[in-house]
This record gives sequence, C-alpha cells and structure tokens, in this order.
Amino acid sequence: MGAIAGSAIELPGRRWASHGGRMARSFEQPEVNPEFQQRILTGSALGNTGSAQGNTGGELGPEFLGRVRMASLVLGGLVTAVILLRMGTLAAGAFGVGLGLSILNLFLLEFVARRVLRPEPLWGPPVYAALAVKLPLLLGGSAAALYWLHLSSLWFGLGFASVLVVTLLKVIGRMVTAPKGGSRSGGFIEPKLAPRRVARPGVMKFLVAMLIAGPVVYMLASGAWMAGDLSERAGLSVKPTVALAEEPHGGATEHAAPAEGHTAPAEGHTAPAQAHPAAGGSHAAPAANHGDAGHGEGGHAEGVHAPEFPNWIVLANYLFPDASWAHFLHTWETPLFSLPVVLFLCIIAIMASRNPKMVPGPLQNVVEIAVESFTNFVEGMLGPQGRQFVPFLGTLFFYIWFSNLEGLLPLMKSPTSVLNTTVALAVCVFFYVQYTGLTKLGPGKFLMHLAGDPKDAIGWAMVPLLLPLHIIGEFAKPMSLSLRLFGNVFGEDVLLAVFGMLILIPLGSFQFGLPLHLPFIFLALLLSSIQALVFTLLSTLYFSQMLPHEEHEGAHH
Amino acid sequence: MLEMNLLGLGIPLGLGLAAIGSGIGLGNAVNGAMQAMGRQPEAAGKIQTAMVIGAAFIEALTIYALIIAFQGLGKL
Repeated sequence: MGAIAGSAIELPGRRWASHGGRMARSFEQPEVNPEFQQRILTGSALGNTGSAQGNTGGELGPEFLGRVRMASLVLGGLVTAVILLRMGTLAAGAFGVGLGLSILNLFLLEFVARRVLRPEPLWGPPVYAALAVKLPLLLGGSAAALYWLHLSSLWFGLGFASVLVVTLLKVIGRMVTAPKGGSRSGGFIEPKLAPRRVARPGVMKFLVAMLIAGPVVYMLASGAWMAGDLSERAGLSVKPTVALAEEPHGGATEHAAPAEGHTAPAEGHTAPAQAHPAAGGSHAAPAANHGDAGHGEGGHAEGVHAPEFPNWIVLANYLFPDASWAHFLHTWETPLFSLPVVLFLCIIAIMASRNPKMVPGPLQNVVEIAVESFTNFVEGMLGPQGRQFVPFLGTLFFYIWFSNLEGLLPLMKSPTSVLNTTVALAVCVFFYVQYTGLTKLGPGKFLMHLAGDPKDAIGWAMVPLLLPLHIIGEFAKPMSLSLRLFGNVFGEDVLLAVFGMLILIPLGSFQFGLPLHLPFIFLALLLSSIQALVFTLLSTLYFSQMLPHEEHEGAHH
Repeated sequence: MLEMNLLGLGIPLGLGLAAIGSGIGLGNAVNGAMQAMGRQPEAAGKIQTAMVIGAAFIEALTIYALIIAFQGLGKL
C-alpha cells in the first residue's frame, strides 16, 4: 500500500516515497546519500542505482561506470592508434592525454561510487582523498597539457570528450534497453520481484540493435575520408562512368597516363598539410585550415566530380599509389565488388539446399519462403508456364537486390552503380526474351507479334509503320532497363555522398564528414529493394508478352 | 565561359523540369491506384503490381534526365 502510494509521486522523489514501501517489506535496503546518487546518475530519471543488493550492471551504478571505463579505454585506444597512423604523434599524444585524463576522472568517480553506494557506506580517508584530488586533477591536468606542454587543444578536447560521448551512448542504450517492469513501478522498491531482463519481442530487440549499431556504422561510413579529395590523391577520377558519352578506356597505358597527371598536384597539396605538425602549438588549427582550404580549391579547379564514398579499392590506390596490384584492383573494380554478392548467394543456396530436412532449420525456412513467394509472384504474372523462368528471374532479383544493398556498406560499392553491369544484365534479359519468343511462339507468330498481330485490312495496312516501331521498341527495352537501374543506384550513392560531405570538419590534412546522410540511408534501403523488384517485374512483363496467351497482347506496345 | 554558365544553369533546371513532369505523372498514377484499391480492396495485389510497373516507366524519364545531367556535369 505504501509502495503504491509512494510510487505515484513523481519520479525524482521516488527514493523518499519508497521509504514506506521499504519498511513494509522485510528485506533490508540501504540508505543512499541522495546527493551522490544524483551525481552519479548524471541526471537520468531512470536510474535506481542505489539498489545495492545485486548490482548486476544492468542499472546505472558503479558497475555501469566500470563498463564505460573499459569501453572508453578500448575505443579510445583504437582511435588513438588510428590518429597516430594518420595524423602523427603530436595529435595522437594530445588525444591520448585528454583521453587518459578523462578516464582517470571517471575512475575516481567510480572508486568513490563503489565505496559509498553500498549497504554500509565506507566514508573513509580514501574517499575524501579521491574527492579532493578530483577537481584539481582535472583543472590542473588540462592546464598543464594545454599551456605547458602546448598540446593541440582540439585533439585534447576530442580525447576528453570521447569518454563523455561513450557515457552518453551507453546511458541512451541503457534507457532504451531497460526492462520495462523495473523502471515503471520502480525497481528500487522491489528489486527482487522485478525481473532483471524482460524478454522483449524480436522486433524490439532488432530496433534496439539498429539504434545502437546504426550510428556507429554510419559514422564509420561517413567518417571515411572525403571521397573527392582522396580519389584525387590516389590519382583516380570519380567521374560517372557513362559509357555512352566517353570512349571506352583502352589498355593499361591509357589508364596510367591520367593517373600520372593527377599525382603531381596531389603531392603539391600535401606539402602545406605536412607542414602543420611542425608548426605545432596553438598555430596548429589555423595551419590545418589553410591546408584544407587549398585542397578545396584544388578540387574545384579539377572539375566537378560526382562525389562517392571511397571504397576499399580507392583506399588501396591511395595508400599504395605506385603499386601495380592496386591499379590491377582498380581495373577490375566492378567484378571484384560483384564477387562477394555472387559468393554469398551461392553459399546460401548451397547451404540451404544440400541436405534438406523434413522439418527445416532456420536457413532452409527462410530460403523456402523466399523461393515459394517468388514462384507465386512469377506464376501470378505468367501463369503456370512461367515456372521455368523462376530460376532466371529469381537470380536476377536477388543478385540485383544484394548488389544494391552492398553499396550501403562502408568501403563497398554497388556493382549495379556501374552501367556495364546493368547493361550486361539487361542484355541477358533481352536475349532470353527473344529466344523465348522464337521458341514459344514460333518464327511465324513471332514475326506477326512484331508486326502488331494484324487481323484485318487496317491492321495489315499499319504493318509497315508498326514493324519498325516494334523492333525499335524491343531494343529500347534493355536500354531502359539498364539505364533505370544504373541511374537509380548511382544517383542514390551520389545523394548519400553529397549529404555525407555536406559539412566537412577539417582534421589535420583530412576532412571528415558529419553523418547527415543518415535519413537518406532508409530511403536508399527502400529504393534498392524497389529497383530490384522493378527490374524483375519488367523482365517478367517482357516474358509475358512473348508467351502465347492472348490477355497480355493488348498491353503491349 | 558562357557555354559553361549556360550548362551550369541548364543542368539543374532540366533535372527539375523532368522531376516536375514525372511528379505529376506519379501523382496521377498513385491517385488512380489508391482509388481503385479503395473500391476493390480484394484486387489490391494486382493493382499494386500494375502501379509499380507504371511508376517505373514514369520514373524512368527522370532517371534519363539524371543520367544526362551527370554527363553534363562531367563536361562542366
């Protein structure tokens, strides 16, 4: 009774209100210093840290702080290593000092929390010492790092803030994943009764995982170096590969020539950027800005490139500009990005279809659902005779779908964002459709079909007009198929890259983009699936026009 | 220089015009499909398939404009 009345009061007052409830129950609850609790909770209304019995780490308490410390150590170490490799020792040192100071601060807080937030608070000299040391350490450490050691304030601040970012992310993750029963009715009141982990439905788990993984993945994706800048340095131009306008690239000699031309200005640009660590101290930031301004202008003078996120082959060309294997990779870029999709589909197909079971496992289940629904879809459009086209159309659909999605992975590229791939697919469809027409309809009926199936005198009179039109129409089909797919996927990649590079933060000689393209990721997910479906749908439609039944003939042009 | 300026002005303008056209077309198509689905919910699947095919044809026009725009950008 007391508990219910207590928890009816607003959330921050819970610890006062719950006194009654605690008395009513038999087990012992600790007295928690409210100020400390408040301080450690970082203002989160969710937190019921004080339940000292069985602090499982599922709540915002000392255990949580410890986990934040470990995560910060690991992540910060990785980031420091990356900075060390990319920006040199000065930046990495500043970052590391900031990180270390922040983690030390966190450790002191955790130390105090561990001693104080327990059934019998241990207020002793160590706690007082830790509290006394904390603030001077923070201020003095920062002052010493910035003014005496002349570390870059930007990197120091980033290092210090990285721990706070980790904390924030972890708190958000906790709040999202916190068991519902515990937080609503107050886990503080009945820690034993509220289950620690409530089984959530799978959708919820998936959403939570996406919420946490999404930002990380897309920070990675957009934190990649600015594509135009990078490609310019690597000596690769990222011009759209519209084969209609350009002459086809010849052998390796032709290819190497522009690469040589590009490297010279790139080296020129690196010079001011390299000079910046030498300048050191408080001059570091303006020096970096100057270097990047030079880069930006250089990029504009080169001409407008369609921006794209760099893939790993572009990265390899950047890191090893002179290596012949890197140029080899670049030459075979599209097949190399198509290979993973092909292998993935092959392996899934083999794994699911070898050794099929009467009671299917999860993989077999998924594949069976996919095959069955796709078969139904094709048979719905083509009738029962459409069954023989299911393997071809299904392969098309899944290959295009996974190819489109591959472009959304960091450091990957859609094979379908290159016109060559889509033309190849469309040409396959074209020949198969014509072959189907010739065999299913027979040569005579096929010609009649191309002539528009004349039935009366007016029809026969129209034949000289309709026959060329239909023949042109047949050849327009693969063109429209391939251009549609290519334009969609390429345009979508460019859209993502444009928004990913909308705001560029100059860091050293590189530029990092803010992940502003996050909303468009979902658009791209949708578009990728729809375009795969549309390609398959239209192919099916073309088959249906070549099959001998009368209903579909009217829809033909 | 004038040609470049004209090209720079023309590419976005042309793309926008193409988008207007296919926007109107898509609006009409989806409007019709929605009304048809509302009248005959049991035929929603077939109507949706037809709508997607039609939408693909309509949208292809914008895509052609987009590709031409990319070509123009390469020349710019």
